[in-house]
Amino acid sequence: MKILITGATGYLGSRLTQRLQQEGHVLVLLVREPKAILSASFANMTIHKGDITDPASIAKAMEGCTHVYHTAAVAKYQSSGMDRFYEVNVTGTRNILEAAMRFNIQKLVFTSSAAVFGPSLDIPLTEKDPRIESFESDYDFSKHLAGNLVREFVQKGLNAVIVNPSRVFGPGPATYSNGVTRMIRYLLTKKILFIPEIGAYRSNYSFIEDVVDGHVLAMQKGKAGESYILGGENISYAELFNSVAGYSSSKCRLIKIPVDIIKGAAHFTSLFNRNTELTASLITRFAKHRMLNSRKAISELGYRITPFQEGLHLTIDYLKNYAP
Amino acid sequence: MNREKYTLITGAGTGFGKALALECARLGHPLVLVSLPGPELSCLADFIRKNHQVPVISVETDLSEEGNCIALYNRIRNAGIRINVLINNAGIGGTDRFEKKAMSFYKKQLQVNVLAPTFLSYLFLDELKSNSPSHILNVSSMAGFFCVPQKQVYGGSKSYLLSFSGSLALELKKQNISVSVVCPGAMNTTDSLTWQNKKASHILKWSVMNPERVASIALKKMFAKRKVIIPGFWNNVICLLHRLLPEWFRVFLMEQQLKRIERKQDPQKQGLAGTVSIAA
Ligand SMILES: NC(=O)c1ccc[n+]([C@@H]2O[C@H](COP(=O)([O-])OP(=O)(O)OC[C@H]3O[C@@H](n4cnc5c(N)ncnc54)[C@H](OP(=O)(O)O)[C@@H]3O)[C@@H](O)[C@H]2O)c1
Ligand SMILES: NC(=O)c1ccc[n+]([C@@H]2O[C@H](COP(=O)([O-])OP(=O)(O)OC[C@H]3O[C@@H](n4cnc5c(N)ncnc54)[C@H](OP(=O)(O)O)[C@@H]3O)[C@@H](O)[C@H]2O)c1
Repeated sequence: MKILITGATGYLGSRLTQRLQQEGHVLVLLVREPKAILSASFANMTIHKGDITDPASIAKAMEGCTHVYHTAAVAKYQSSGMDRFYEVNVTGTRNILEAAMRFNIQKLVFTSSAAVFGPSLDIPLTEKDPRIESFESDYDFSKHLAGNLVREFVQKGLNAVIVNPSRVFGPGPATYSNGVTRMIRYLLTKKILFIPEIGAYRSNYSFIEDVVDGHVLAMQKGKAGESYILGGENISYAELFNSVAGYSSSKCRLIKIPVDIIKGAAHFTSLFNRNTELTASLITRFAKHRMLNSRKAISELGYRITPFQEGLHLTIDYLKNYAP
Repeated sequence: MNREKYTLITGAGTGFGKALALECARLGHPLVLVSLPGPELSCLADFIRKNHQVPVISVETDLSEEGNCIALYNRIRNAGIRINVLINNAGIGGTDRFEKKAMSFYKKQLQVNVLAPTFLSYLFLDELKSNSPSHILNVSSMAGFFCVPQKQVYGGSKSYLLSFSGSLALELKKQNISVSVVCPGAMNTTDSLTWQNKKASHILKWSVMNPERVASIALKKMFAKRKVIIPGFWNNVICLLHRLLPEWFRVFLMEQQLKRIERKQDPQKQGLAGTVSIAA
């Protein structure tokens, strides 16, 4: 068993790499910048510099591998550079799938996102539920198209499984893709946080270690062409903010602002700054339930959910002890 | 026997039909949903039963066959289901040079877009009369108003619905049946249309709407018995301009549009769109 990982320098990919390394697997990493690898040891690890938009670099890395975890993606919600989402997330995934066919990969796990299922009403969504809203964000749509490609290649004979993590949080760098952890860090260090007035809406938060486990389980037990939601508990924003504040004995004051005002501000700032993280569509995303049901992964893969409070505790401990 | 009155929606499994079904469910209307055989419809029906607690009957059938339209009607009647809203949404779209598609494609397109709405309105007419006040909503398109390049048969089928609905509305008014026709512009329904809309020029992009929004407008105006429903500000502006502009200028604009389409169809220039393969 020789495993190729894409996105190993990312939040999820780095934790997955560590886990597989601990389990003693032989790993091949396809990375854009070898210096960005966070791993402490390089035992049993080959590093290939490349890019998933460059098929030749994929071929070099994948040759001789038997299994693939494809986690690499442009995973930021930003208004600028929409083509990048499609070049990397869709065309890049197609390149990976084509190479996987060519090199007779035994099994591939593709990291999609629960964002492809869209918002929920009052009942948590399963993999079977229809999307009740059209695609707004290019990220969501690109991950959806990539998932379609995976299913298309499964029809052609590739053994590939799709996993759909929800909002991932937990120990690890508090980067863009680790939004909840970033918010926790903010609450720990700052005096005031302005939050949209969306307290009643519930979203799903998955703990990083569960999601990493879910990937490994999907590789072992996932059925070709199937999608598995890797989620956690459904928590309201009010519960989220209060739990964080409670656990961390944070001194931070939360100031609630009506959603419309924030949307107006977002429109205004995006006039001047195309790279702003605050986009109006991002705010709209939060003013909705996004509840998920991980029952399928639990019963078919043996997926396990760490209680939210426990995950939060571990994250806060990590931030207090290790993070700058 | 259930005495509630049901709304029948064709082409309800995906796209605009799905949005109409979800909006009707939100408003509390019991539903009969019709779609081609496939997994989407039963998932949608389950979702609506769970989340909206309204009864849903789903029927998977190919409406391009006259016999299936009749069988659908018989099945609903034999089950004692009363219909007071009929929404003819199922349709087959397409943009291509006339000679590029087979005759069999145009036959099917006309069967689904023209004959099915005609037959279903005919079959359910007595039913709608006895359950009045009733409503018929036919889903046409902005392409029904104008001569859009490479939409010869599609545009023609949608013009038929405009004309058919307008005439039928006159006849049925006394029986307390309203007949409305909705003419959406570009909507983000299928993956390939959503992709096209994202790639469209700025001016076109303004007029793009999400089907959820169009569904809510269309249903509100259908219940208000509006005859011709044009959803969205920009679509109304386009219709107004169409009426005001001289003929030669309209033709000029459409010729420009045709050139743009043909440029895009050039495989050399497809770029990302070529690699982002999307099932139509
Ligand atoms: N974080 C979440 O909450 C979450 C939730 C659901 C799904 N996901 C999915 O999980 C996966 C990992 O996300 P993440 O949160 O770990 O994001 P991340 O920290 O931004 O990591 C993205 C990874 O992809 C790599 N990458 C980007 N473009 C690439 C390219 N052209 N060629 C090769 N590698 C490229 C990045 O490499 P560089 O270091 O060189 O930039 C990085 O290693 C993504 O597929 C994402 O869609 C994440
Ligand atoms: N999208 C736009 O930009 C746009 C603009 C103006 C007007 N429209 C009109 O809106 C309506 C819905 O289109 P859409 O965009 O939502 O596309 P869509 O997702 O492809 O929906 C078409 C629907 O028609 C159904 N259908 C097709 N052939 C059928 C047949 N032989 N028997 C039974 N049902 C059949 C399909 O059933 P399945 O779900 O089972 O496939 C599908 O639900 C169409 O009448 C279209 O002309 C669309």
